[in-house]
Amino acid sequence: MASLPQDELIRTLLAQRARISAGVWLVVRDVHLAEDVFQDVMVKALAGESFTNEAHLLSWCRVTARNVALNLMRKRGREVTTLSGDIMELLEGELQAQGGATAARIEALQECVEALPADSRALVDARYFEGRSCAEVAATFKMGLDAAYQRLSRLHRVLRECMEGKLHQAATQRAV
Amino acid sequence: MTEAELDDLLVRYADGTLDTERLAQLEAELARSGIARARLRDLAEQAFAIGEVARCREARSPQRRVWSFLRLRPRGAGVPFSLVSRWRPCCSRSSPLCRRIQRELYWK
Repeated sequence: MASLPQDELIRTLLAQRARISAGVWLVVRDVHLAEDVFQDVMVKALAGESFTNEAHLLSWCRVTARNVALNLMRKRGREVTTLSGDIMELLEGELQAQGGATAARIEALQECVEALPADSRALVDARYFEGRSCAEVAATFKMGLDAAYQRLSRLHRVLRECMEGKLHQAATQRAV
Repeated sequence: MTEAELDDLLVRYADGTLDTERLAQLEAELARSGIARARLRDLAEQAFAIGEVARCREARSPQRRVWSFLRLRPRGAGVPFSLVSRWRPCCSRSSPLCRRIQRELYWK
């Protein structure tokens, strides 16, 4: 049986990086751990696994990424208060069904993040890039914990609406 | 569940501070509502995008560029590495992923 050539394997995994990492983030909720898991999965895929086609590779990645993520959390002694396997399946399946749309969504989101006012950007950076908890963010930005949750909720809504606006604009331009 | 309540649960889930009861409440909502699942997927994509923007900013900082230049020169595994280096515009040879894949392929 023919197997996927290595360069195609790398190309496929890199093209799917955002989608795989977003799926992993749902478990680990830390962008650096999600990147570690993606790297582990990529190295495992390159280290001798054989895949018949892209669908086989992606399905293997989905399962392997989740297992690696859960093991990593256990190894680090983190309490795994994560969603049930059924819900995870549903979410990952829906992420996969988005297909190539994920790349466009991430690109739009990156522009939206860059366009945030400096104080908002510092806040989301502290929470999601520096990996500080909401309690730490609240202390750093001198606000109450509930206020920090509300501010983050608002920023997520702003980013979502910004991304949807950009995608709508791009779709309109394509249609013209 | 209102949109504000859902957003609050999702932010707390991301923070890892949901107690068992509220986690069950969130799971029930996610099982029931496609909109709730879309919101959580949005959150995951946003966290990823925030991380990417911050990593790119770090990679572009002058201090980082000097270290990248001093530490890393490409060797071996030319073709796959050239694929990896096109991973994203700011993916320099200093990125951990590029380094690790290059090392794996080099020793293979």
